[in-house]
Parts: sequence; structure tokens; C-alpha cells
Amino acid sequence: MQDSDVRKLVDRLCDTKADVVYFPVRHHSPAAAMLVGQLIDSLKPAAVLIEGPSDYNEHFDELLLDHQLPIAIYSYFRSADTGSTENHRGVYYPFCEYSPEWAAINRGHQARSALRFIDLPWSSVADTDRSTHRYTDAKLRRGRYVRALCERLQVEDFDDLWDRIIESHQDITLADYLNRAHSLCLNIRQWEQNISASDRQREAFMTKQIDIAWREFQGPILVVTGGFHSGALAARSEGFACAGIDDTDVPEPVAIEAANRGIVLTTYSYDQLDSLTGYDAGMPNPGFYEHAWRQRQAGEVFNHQPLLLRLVEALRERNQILSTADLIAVETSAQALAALRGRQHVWRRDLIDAVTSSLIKDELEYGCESPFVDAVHAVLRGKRRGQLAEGARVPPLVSDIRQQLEMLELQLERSIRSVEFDLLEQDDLCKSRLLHQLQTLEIDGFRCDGGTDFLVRNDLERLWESWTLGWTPDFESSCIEASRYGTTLRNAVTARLLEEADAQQSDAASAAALLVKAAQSGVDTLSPALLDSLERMIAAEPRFDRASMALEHLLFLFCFDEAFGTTRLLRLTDIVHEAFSRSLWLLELLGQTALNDGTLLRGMKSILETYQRVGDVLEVNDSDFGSVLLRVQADSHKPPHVRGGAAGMLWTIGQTNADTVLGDLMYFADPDHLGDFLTGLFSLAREVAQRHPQLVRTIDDVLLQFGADQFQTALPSLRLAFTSFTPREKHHMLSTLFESLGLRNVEPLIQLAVDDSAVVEALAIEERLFEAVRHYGLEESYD
Amino acid sequence: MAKKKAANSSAAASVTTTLQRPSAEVQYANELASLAKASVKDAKPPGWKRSPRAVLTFVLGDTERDMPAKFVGRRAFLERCIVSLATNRGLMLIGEPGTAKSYLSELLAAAISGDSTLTIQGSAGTTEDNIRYSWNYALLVAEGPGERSLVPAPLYLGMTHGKLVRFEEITRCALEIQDVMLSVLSDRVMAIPELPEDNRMLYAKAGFNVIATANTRDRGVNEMSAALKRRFNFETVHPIADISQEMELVARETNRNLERAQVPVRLDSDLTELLVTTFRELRQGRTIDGKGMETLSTTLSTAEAVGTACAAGIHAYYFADGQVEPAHLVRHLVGSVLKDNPEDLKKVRHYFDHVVKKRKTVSWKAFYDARNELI
Repeated sequence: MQDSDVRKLVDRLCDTKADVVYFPVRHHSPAAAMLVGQLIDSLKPAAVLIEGPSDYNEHFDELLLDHQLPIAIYSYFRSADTGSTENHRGVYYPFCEYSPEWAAINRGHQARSALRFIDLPWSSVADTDRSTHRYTDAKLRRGRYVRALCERLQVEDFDDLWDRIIESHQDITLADYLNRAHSLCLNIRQWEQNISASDRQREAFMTKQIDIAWREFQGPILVVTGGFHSGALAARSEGFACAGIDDTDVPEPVAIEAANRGIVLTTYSYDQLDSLTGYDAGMPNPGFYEHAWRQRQAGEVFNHQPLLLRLVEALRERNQILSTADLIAVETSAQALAALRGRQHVWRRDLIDAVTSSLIKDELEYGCESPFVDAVHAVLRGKRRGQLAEGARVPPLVSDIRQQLEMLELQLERSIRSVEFDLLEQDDLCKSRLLHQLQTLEIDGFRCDGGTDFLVRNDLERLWESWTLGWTPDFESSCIEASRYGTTLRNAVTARLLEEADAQQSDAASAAALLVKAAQSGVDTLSPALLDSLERMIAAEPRFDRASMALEHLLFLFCFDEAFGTTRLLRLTDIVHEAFSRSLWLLELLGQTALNDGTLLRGMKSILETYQRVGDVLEVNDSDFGSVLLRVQADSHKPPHVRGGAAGMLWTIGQTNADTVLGDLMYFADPDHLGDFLTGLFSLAREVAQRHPQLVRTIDDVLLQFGADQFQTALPSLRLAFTSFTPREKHHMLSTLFESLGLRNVEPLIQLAVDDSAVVEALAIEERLFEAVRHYGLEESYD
Repeated sequence: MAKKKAANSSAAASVTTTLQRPSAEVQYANELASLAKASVKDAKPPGWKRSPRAVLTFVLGDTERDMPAKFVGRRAFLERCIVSLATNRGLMLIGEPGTAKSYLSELLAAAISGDSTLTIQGSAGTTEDNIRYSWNYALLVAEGPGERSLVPAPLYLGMTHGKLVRFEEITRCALEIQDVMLSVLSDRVMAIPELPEDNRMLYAKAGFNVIATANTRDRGVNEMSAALKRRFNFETVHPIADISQEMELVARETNRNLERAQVPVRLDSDLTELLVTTFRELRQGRTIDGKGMETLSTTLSTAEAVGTACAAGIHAYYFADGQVEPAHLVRHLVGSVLKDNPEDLKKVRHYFDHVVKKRKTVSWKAFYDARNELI
């Protein structure tokens, strides 16, 4: 495509007398909104075709209700393909007061033009197009042309470029606008190497819609689309040369069952609009542009002072010091920056820069927050949040949620309230389940702020939960957003849990944690697909500690749960079995490991407990289990405490006898290993070990053979080993030892009888001693 | 390119070749002259030699006028710096060591006042005399205090002639010395109590302002008094964000330094990429494909990269066959990375074993093979 071709096409595009007039927009540009309104008023088009989801056309009248902007069209679908991880997806088409699309809808309606969206339904391009907000200008931002032009015009980035050539010109005429915007967009397109497949498809589809409208309506047709597409649409329709229009197939929208898709209005906010970055980048600082739009509407010259005043208020609200001198400095800098940048009045970037430069007195790192910059952005963002008019449709899920909340009397109110549930009460349990379901769907307004922690399980004496409920403006929109998961709450939660499971890395412990979460949302949500997916994750777990932790969670659900109704739930058998056999296998594989002893022994304990409690249900073969443990116990590559633990397990389940254990003990009689072995043995065979006098006797014999040094070496780990016993148990063991040694008078330690003054004196000496230790800096060695 | 231009003017040429490092206004004399000529009709802040736009063009370069960029940074940042200097506040440049703060202040002073030599070097030993003025004691005794016996220091000169004064490393000075700047910055006047009544107050001429630099690694700006902070606009100078720009700068500066040292060796693009990538990864604690790693305690600025490359070039020229090899870079990397913390060496070794090892191009391989140079 030659420069002359570009010129020719631009000339055609700027022609407002043609049958089909193309109006290029930058989404959310007030200047474009203003001018599209003017154009519609003068052109009185028979039809206004707008870049928007054509599957919304049947509900178009809803848009004309009395909404408070910003709002968005939310389009969602569930794909039948369950293998993919992203089969519940949704996107937004956001509108704010100053959106050119919105202006076109309103003015078109006033001018009695036919209104239509002409873009390909999103579900047809969803596979190749990643952005979740449809009105963004990612396409305009990137590319060599923009970079070169920014350098030429000496501006920093695309936002500034647009401000420079269009937005900050208060009195830009329609002809000027068309010329500049079309040339800019066409050149960007021209310099762009690849036009994506989804763009080509959408443009082919839009061209066809224009053609249909042209045949249908008498009179001029106005096409309002992103500037990036205008040129291609005209070129496709009228045979001009243009980049990326060579394929001719017009795609048919992908057919999706009605139950699996939806397109509805939802509320939106400036907050959401402003936070768009990356693929989703749009026009920043909506509050600023709204201000500019209002002034433009009123025919006034742009004045930044109201914004500056708001900024001062915001800063003072945040307890930032801002003196009059500072304000003068900000104002001066802003004016000077505007002058340096060749502008008539202070614009967006000038304000931000003036504040950064005059108020921040510290290093400012990239991405680092500063209260001043935050305040500027908060003011330039604005707080506006939309509200839908009565009569707009809502997806079935939203009514389901409302109905269920009402049934259980948990409706959200403006005032915040707290509720507390006793999970052993059936009514309370139902309520808790409902709230957990809503939390799983990330619906706003519910917060669980206390209760039994079923993952830590420190305190299971009382099963309770407390929740805070309070209406937030995001409640409705989050319900609508969740609609992509299903039409009923139960389906949606099941789908959402499954998605979460699929999105996770193979980590058995988080799989089990997810299962606990699902159990909290009600046993109904434990779908076979979810269990399958979690089972796969457990089966793929390579780490013993994670697998055994999963086993611990599962054992709790399967054996000890009193509230959720998962005890001995048949559906869970397979997954418990998987976790059990996986943990056992990993135990056998275990070599020298960096895991600390506590984790390993805890894992072994859950294996033992599973065997003891539900071995029959899981149909574990006793001799197989025993032989695995024997192998572990005999494996010289394993750390002593694991081998001790295995010996303890065998002893506890009665597959070995005391003599063998004593033999093993002698094998580990080395001072480096004795304590570790005993730690394992005692943790896994606590009951048997203390009932066996010979064991203590043998330990005693071994210790007596140690020299002083050896004893010192063995002591710390021996201490650890005996911590598994309570003082009473230790006393009992000692008594049996003394008895077997023929010593009679075993008494608990005698209490010393000392008078108060002796105690005081002793304390004073001790204090002096510690003082001296501190004085010479010996504290550490003392420890 | 700047060199080529300077070579056209014989006076400049003779100065630039004999001096080890000519000041910016000498080195870029031609560019400054042409900019001054072009902006003669533009509005200028009082006392400025060039318009703010011309200053911006000088620093950031202009491809149309064949003027190279001298500093890599965001345009908005530079605009803010220049505007600060035109207001009644000083400009404080802060940032990590080696981010070209001093160089930027030199460029700004050269472009705005045509003189970058009014420089106060802040140090623990800086006294008021170094900043304001001192006396020629022989004349003081003979004639008493007066214009002749007064020895002006940079601040005095800047105020008298309406020029920018540079205050390097201001936070290295004692607090009471820093505060000498207070009255000068707010009232733009300096009292000289020794002089007779009429000359007791020195009022700054239009065009006077102060550019201070401070480095965030040494004693921080937090130690500055709030009163002094208030009189400065702070701007943070960041390390170069774009890797290709950093590579370009490292190659250009290295080659210029080598040329100046009369070493006919060039750093080729492969090695530049290798060096800059290594420095960036160690600096940011993140590999270019986004994996996290530990950062070093020393600063690895672009200037350090240039230093390492120059050392490698000189090494190659005098001790090898004149071809810079990855091994030379490794050897001199040790010097720039290892300052006082032996942990850093471990981290660099780990970097070689886990990051460099996986890269498959020839120069990266050679770089890895030379890892034994890391003593």
C-alpha cells in the first residue's frame, strides 16, 4: 500500500456526504463523543451502526432506559468443551457518559435513526482474543508508528499523543477530527505488521452488517467503530487498498446453546475503567475526562482549577501536608509544563507531573506508592459508579441467589450486620453453606470473619462461624459476573470449584484444602468431576509432606467430621484411598530429605491413623501394608527417625514384636542416631512403648555404655524423643525402669523446703550472675 | 556524532583532544550554538541562554537535526526537571549511584547557563567557605574587607552572574552546611556581613538556581532538614528502563572512552548484550524471562557496566590479542561486583551456575566457560 493509497482512503473516509459515513472513535474519548453527536445532528442518518456485540441487538431497547452511567454490557458463555481450563468466560463492553458509542446511541435515538450493534458476537473470537474488555485501545497503543510519531511530536506515549493532537484542542472541528483520527489510525494499521485473525474476522463480519443495512435503509448510514477498523471497513466495502483485508470469508457466529450463554447489562465503575492495563488498556483517568467532557458540553473553556481544588481536599483528607506555598508551586509548575508542551491550558499530564515534581520529597521508585500520587490518581479517576434502571433483565443466577438469600433471611441490607452459626444446627448449617457458596463465586457483601478453622483443626470442640453481611454496590455486578458459571447457584458453584481445581498446580494439599472448601459449600457440590480432578492431582503429587497433609485433611472429612455430612461418604472412598496409597508410596521412596522430622512423623501418623480407622473401608491388605513398612524400616538410606517411625507403626499394628524392636534399637545405639530413632519410635508407638519395661531398660543400658562426650552428643535428640510423653507417662516409665533395676523408693521429686529469705538471696545471686554474663557478652554461649 | 561535529571547529577540537574530559559546554559547543540560534526568538525564562524547549532538545536529542541523545530518560521527567529550574525552587536529583545524575545536572547547566563549572562538591569536609566565599587574607589584612579581598566560591559566582550552580552529593555534607542554602534558595539573597553597608547583601541575578544531586545509597535524603527539602523539587533518576537503550548507551560510552584512552578496540554487539543483560539481571534480581533471583548488595549501574567494559577492552588490548573476549568481561566483573561483601561473589557464582549455564549462544557459552575467573 502506497502513501497515495493511504491518502485516497483517508479522503474517502473523511467524506461526510457519502452514503456510508465512517466515524472513527477512540473508545472513551470525550472529543469523539462530542463530535459524533454533532455529526448525527447534522447528518440525520437513517441508521447508526455501532461497534458492539450484535447478539445484544434484540435487547437494544434496554440501553435506552434511564441508567446511571458507567454501565457495561456483559457477555458470557460456557463452552461445552470440559477439557479446557477456561470454559466459563465473560467480557465487558463498558460505557461511560462521555463514550462516543454512548453518545451515538443517545443522539441516534433522538434523531430517530435505527440503532444497531454490528460486531461479531464475542464468543466467536474468544479463543484467539485475550482481552476481557472490548473497548480498549491496545491496538492503537503498540507499534512502530506510534513510537515514531511520539518521538516526532515530542510526547511520551499514546495517551499523550492523543491528548496532543485531538483531546486537548477545545475547538477542534469535525473535519479536522476526521482527518487527524483517520490518518493516525490508518497509518498505525499500515505500519502494523500483522492484523490479527480475530480482527480480520470481525471486520469481515462488520462489513457484511454494513452491507445489509445499506440495502435495508434509505438514507445515509453512519458507522461508528474504533478508528483502527474504520479504514478496513471502507476498504472492504468499496475496494480500496488497505492492510489486513485480504481474506473474504465472512464468519458465522459460533452457535452456543441458549442456556450456556447470556448477554446482559451490568453496573460498572470508574475504578474498573481506570485499572485497565496491558491487553485491556483503555483511556486512563476517567474522572479527568469526565470533567473535560462536562466543560465541553457546557461550551466552556477547559479549566483545571476545580480538579486542583478537589485534589487539595483529597490530600488534606488523607492527612498530607499541603501548604499554600505548595499549592502555588503546583499551579506554577503545571502552567509552566503546559507552556513547555505547547498547550493553551493545563492538561492531564501537566497536573500529574506538577504534583510529582512539587510535592514529593523522596525517592520515587517505579511502581512504588506515594500518598501524593495516589491522591492525584484518585481525583483524576473519580468515584462514579453506575446504576441500572428498573426493568433491565438479570441472568437467572441472580434471581436464584436473591431467592435463596431471601428464603434463609440473609438478604443484604445497607447497614452491616453480623451473624453467627452453630454448624451442628441444621438451619445454621444451611445458611453457612449458602454463604460459602457465594464466597466461592466471589460475590461481594459477605465476609467470614471467624469460626472453626477446618484446615488447622486446633479447636473442634465447638463448630461455629461468624459472618459479616452488608450490601455493597458490587453485589449486583459480581452476581452478574458469576453468571458465566451457570444458571443456578448449585451448578455455578460446582463449575467454579471445578475450574479452581483445574487451574491449580498439581499440589495434593491444596487439592484437599479445596475439597474441604467444597464440603463447606455443601456435599452436593462434591461432583464426580471435581473428585476426579482432585484425585488426579493427588496421584501426581511428588512430595511426601504435601501428600500426607492431603491425607490428613481427607481423613478428617472421612472420619471425624460432624457437621458437613462427609463422614464415611461413599463418594470419598476413592480419593481417600488414593491419598493413602500415594502417601505410603512416597514414604517408601523417601531418601535423605530436607524435610524436618516433625512433618515426616506427622505424615506417618496420618498414614497409621488412616489404616487404623478406615483400613477396613479402604480394603487395605494388612500384609501388604506391613511389608511396605518393613521395607521402610530396613532401608539403610532412610533417616533414623523414619525407620524408627516405621518400626513404631509395625509395633502398634502388632506386626512385629518387642524383641525385634529392641534389636533395631541396638542397631541404632550410636549416639548420633539413638535419639532420632527413638523420636520416630515414640511418636508412632506411644502406647505400646510406654507399656514395655524392657524398652526403657535397654535404653538405659545403651546410655550407661556412653562416655561423657557421647552422652552429650546424644542428649538433645533424646530430649526431643521423650517430649512425646506427658510428665505422668515419663514418671510411669521411670518407675518401671527403677522397679526392673530393683530400686524401690521411687518418688516424685521432693519439694524443697526453703524459707523466703533464702529464696530472695538465691534470686539476688542469680541476678548478679546473669548481670556478669551480660556484662562480658557471654549471653549467646550461655544459651 | 558529537565528536565529528566538534572536530569541525578547530578551537573545540584542540581543546577536546588535549583535555581528559572537557566540560559539556565545550564538548557540545556547536550543538549549543545552533540551538541558541534556532531559539533566539522563543520566549525564555529571564537569565536563560536557551529556551526550555531547546534545552529539552539538547538533552534528549533530535534525529531531524542530527543531534544525538545525551541522556536516556522519560520525556515527562526531563520536562519536569527543566520546569523546576524555571520556578523559584531548586532541583534535587536523587537516585541510585551511577544513574547519571551528575551528568544530567552538567548537561542542564551547560544548556541553560552555558556554564557547568560552578560546582560545589559535597563531602564530609565541605565548609561554608567552599560554598559561599572566602578571603584572600593578605589583601584582607592590607586593605580590609572589600571586593578585591573576597574570593568568590561557586554560589557567589552563580548569584552574581545569574547562572545555575551545581551542588553534588549534597547529603554528604553536614546538616548545618546544607542549611547554608536555605536563605539563598528562599530569599535569593546572600548576606556578606563583613562588607561595608552598601555591598552587604548580594542579590541573585535572574537565571540563578541550584541543581543538587543526592544518592540514595549513602546517607539518605531523609536526613535533610524539612526546611531545605521544601525549597527543592525532587526528581528521582531511574536506571534505564529499556534494555536496548541501555545497550546502545553502554556501547557508545565504552567505545568513546576506549577511543579517548587511545585503545583501538571495540565492544561488539554480542558482548554488549551479554554485559548489559548480566548487569540488569543482577541489578533487578530477575532474569529476562522473569525468574526471581537474589540481588547483590553493590550497585550495578549503567556506569559500572561501562567501566567493566572499558577495563575489559584495555585488558584485551595490552595483555591479549586486542579482541575482547567474554573471559575479559568476567575477570573485570569481579572488580565491579565485589566491593566488600563476600556474599555477593556467591550470588554471582550461583547466577553463573543456574542462569548463564542454560544459555546456548556462543558468547554466553564462552561467558560461562570463563566462570573460573570468578575467584
